[in-house]
Amino acid sequence: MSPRRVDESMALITELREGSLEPGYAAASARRVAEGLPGHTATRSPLVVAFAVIVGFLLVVSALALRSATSVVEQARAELIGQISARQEAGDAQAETVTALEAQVAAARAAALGASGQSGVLSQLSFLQVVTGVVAVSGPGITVTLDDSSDVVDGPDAARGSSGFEAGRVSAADLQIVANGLWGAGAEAISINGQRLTTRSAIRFAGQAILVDFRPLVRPYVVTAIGDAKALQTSFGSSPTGSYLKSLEDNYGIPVAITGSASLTCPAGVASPLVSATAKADGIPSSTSSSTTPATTRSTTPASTPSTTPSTSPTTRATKSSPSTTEKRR
Amino acid sequence: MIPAIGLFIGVVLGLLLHPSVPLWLQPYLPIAVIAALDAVFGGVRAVLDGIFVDKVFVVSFLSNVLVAAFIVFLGDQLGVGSQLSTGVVVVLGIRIFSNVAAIRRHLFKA
Repeated sequence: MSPRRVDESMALITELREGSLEPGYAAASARRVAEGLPGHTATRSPLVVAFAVIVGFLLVVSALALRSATSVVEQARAELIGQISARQEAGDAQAETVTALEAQVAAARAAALGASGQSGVLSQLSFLQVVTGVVAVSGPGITVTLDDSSDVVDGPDAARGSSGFEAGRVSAADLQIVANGLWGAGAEAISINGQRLTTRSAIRFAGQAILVDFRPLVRPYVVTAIGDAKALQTSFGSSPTGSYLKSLEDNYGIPVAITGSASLTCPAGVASPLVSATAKADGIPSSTSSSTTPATTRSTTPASTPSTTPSTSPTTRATKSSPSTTEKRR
Repeated sequence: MIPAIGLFIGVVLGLLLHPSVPLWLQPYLPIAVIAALDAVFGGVRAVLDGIFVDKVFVVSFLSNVLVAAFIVFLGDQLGVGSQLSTGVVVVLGIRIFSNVAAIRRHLFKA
């Protein structure tokens, strides 16, 4: 029995390296020698020259075709990006028009209602606007700032993005928990990265992006909540949400910062028109029926504790920061 | 020398004619180019070894290109086109490297 070759396990590689020349050359050459011909032919035979032409042609055609293939992809990409930005600009311009028109509507409505002496309706309206989140409000409150963990941001996959979920990324569920925790702790108005949470807002995941009101957010995620800053901070910190954030920070390296502030602003949210829902005649909460004056003073008793039912929760600390610029669109 | 001129003529022809390759043919181009390069370097090495036979060159060139194209086609049909393409590139790449190494030894004795 012959001894094992040391490179027996690499037979495939050895075969590839040593047998890299077409064995046909050696065989054909040997056959020609046996027939009495020289062991090789000239390289200038028409056949070889013709195939040299073909090879050159093939190389250039491939290079041109494959390069133009990538440029087609890039063209399509640039075109799509152009369409997106053009439509975003158009959308922004229309939003500006809407804001201007709504300011006109609000001014005209205030004038009409004031002239007809129906100031009760006006104050009810402004109360509803504040609680439904269609006007910007300001007041004391806290901000909760979350960011992706630095491992994920600076990691090897950061540049190209990952298709799978990474534990170090802030997920939509985290923001949902934070928003729910803040509502539970007595927040009166919440916005996430400048997107106001209204009665119809959704926080959800689309691929890698977090959408609030169908607007994609970019990190860091700043959740602004307006309410009694001190009470919010204590009850939020001691709530299950607070310990959830703590575990996010400890286990996944997601930095969480909670800071109180004397003056914060939540921008106006977008109110979607209600198509199917109609109000019952006696179901509209009026500002006069609630125990505190809505949307103006912050000197009232702490009636807006979390125990108050949300549907009629008077908004004591969130004050309108601007004249009614946004109104329910129909 | 004359085949090199032929190669150059082919390059110029390709640049001048600039034919548009149909889309269905494009996946086969990279593999065909690698196969052609393998045949060319094999031929050059055979010339230097003194055992070049034109018929073997032409047949090996054609069969390399056809087999490579067939493998890509088969892979596409089976849904593993990119993996098979990678396999072809690896095998032909190793052959090209060792042929070029042999050519280098011939030319520079190093």
